[in-house]
Amino acid sequence: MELGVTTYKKGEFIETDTGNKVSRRSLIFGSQNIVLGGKTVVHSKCTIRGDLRRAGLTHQAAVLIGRFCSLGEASVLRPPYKTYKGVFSYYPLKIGDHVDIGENSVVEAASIGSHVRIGRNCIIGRFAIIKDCCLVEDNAVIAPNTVVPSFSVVAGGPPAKVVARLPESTQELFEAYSKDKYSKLVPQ
Amino acid sequence: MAVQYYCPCAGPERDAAAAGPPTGGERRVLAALRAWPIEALYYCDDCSEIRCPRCVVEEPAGYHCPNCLFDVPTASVRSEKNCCARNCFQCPVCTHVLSVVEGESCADDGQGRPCYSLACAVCSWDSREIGWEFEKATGISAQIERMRARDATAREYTGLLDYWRTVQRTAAAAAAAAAAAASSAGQTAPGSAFAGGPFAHRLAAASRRSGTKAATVDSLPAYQAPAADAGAAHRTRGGEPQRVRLHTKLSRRCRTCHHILIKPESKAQATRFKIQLMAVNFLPAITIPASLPGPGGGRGPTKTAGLPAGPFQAGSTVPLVLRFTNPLYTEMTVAVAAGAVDGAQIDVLAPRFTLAPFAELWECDDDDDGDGDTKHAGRDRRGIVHHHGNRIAIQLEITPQAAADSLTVPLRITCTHVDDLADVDTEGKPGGSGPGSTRRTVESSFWAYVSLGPAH
Repeated sequence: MELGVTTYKKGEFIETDTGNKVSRRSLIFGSQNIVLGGKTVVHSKCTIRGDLRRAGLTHQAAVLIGRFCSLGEASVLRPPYKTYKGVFSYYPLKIGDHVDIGENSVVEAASIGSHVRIGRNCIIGRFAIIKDCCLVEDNAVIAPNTVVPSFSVVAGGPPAKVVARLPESTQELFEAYSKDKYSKLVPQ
Repeated sequence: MAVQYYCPCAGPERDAAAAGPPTGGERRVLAALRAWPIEALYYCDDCSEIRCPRCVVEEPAGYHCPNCLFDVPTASVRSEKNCCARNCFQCPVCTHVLSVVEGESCADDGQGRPCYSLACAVCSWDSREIGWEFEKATGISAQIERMRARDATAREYTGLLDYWRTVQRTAAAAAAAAAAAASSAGQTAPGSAFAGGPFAHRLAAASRRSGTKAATVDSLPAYQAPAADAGAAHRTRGGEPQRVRLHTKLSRRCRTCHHILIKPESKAQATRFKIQLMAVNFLPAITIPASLPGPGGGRGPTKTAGLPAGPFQAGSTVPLVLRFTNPLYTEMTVAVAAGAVDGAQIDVLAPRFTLAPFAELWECDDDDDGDGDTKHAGRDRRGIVHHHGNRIAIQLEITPQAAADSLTVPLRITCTHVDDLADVDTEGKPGGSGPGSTRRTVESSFWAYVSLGPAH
């Protein structure tokens, strides 16, 4: 079954020069510390905490998001934090290209690779590393510091476990899906 | 609703009889087990046939730890017992990967050096509960091995195992004397070197029972430490942390012709493939469109009316639109024929059509009404509902003869294309009669199943 066309009211999204679509109803903090790669869609009620960044004068962005990503409704993207050698600090949250994050999911990962699909109501723990070409099933809870290897399907939890492997064509498949999804989000 | 592709294999053996569509009830069950989404299938370009995960030969192409992503050399996989030899351990309670934490100094160490233990971030299990404390934060596996070596029972077990290996070797060397040597050694050993140990008697008994059978030593299970007996809490919370098992990267070959289908990059981090022959890149993708442009080339997409979803009424004709997408850079001719299905009549209105080659340009083209492409197929042609770029949507008509909740439509798809690479066999022939003759015409046919109704 092909993906249907989703329409929105003109003015619901702010479109940037690089094709990013950011909902006016999304909650973006510290936008100067957030990088969107282009053709990325931030849906309504999505929270991105760009204000949570390493203390002191750094030019590093707090949240880095690649191209053709989709941040679902009411999802939360929060950079991870830890106390290292007695100093509390936030660390950057990096997300690759063609990443789809489902509704109501909370992401506090250190890095998410490219071609990753995260389902609805998921929790990605602090400093989790999700490698390329992964699928996180709905309602999965990935524990902090977990490493999810490439081509794995994780579900359940806490802690979520690898339940299956993805086929070798995953990269093309997820790429086509994210491009298709972007092209089918059109104004009324 | 789902479209699945059928692989006529029966696991390792190819089953010629099963190549047809399912007819009886048993056949349908078999077909369901052999139907796959196209993404999961491979394509052997030597045999021009679909290969499913069951009819390929898998070979390990590299080993790595799924947690630390360390590439383990093939030579050391066996000696490391297929497990990560670094700091990766699984929690005995919740299987989460343990992290090394710094704790208070060891009790017997007065110098105040920090002491490390393994802790679980999920269930707060700590290796100090079973008395595991480490002097260094690195090489935990080696430290555990050293700890185990100090353990008397484990030492006895290793000693016995080594001893019996030598016995076995002697037995193998002198076949005639082997039986006598093994049994006599078995009776003297427990009494002398390893008296009183819990394994000594068992080993001796096993050797006596098996008599001359020299395979006893290797068939013994690996030594497992008895559960810590410091209270019931330990027993319920499991035993010791286990080392994380290694993952393999697999390369796959066609089972029939041993042509390589998948060859991954050997590095653990890489997701690229050196060779990747997937069915998605060779066979037309069949999808059910969610919406099609309205009649008259209107820009506003309209929902396709009458997309069949059960329950189906007997005698009423329902349309089914299927979209075919050509993944190749060459033109492809597709022939579609409906198989026999119990309780329904299926008409393919466009049994033969040509798909234009895939071009990157069309991907960027937002104008989806296909006005400029009518020369290829024509809107007026019977059965072709929509045509754009390398995609064609065709219409099928289904007439159920009995009321049904769901239907499965079997379709025999035959696709033909001219290979863009020159054929090696005909290339060298003198006086080739033009460019067409040096190219190979590839024909592949397969069954596809379209499941309709609430069941999917």
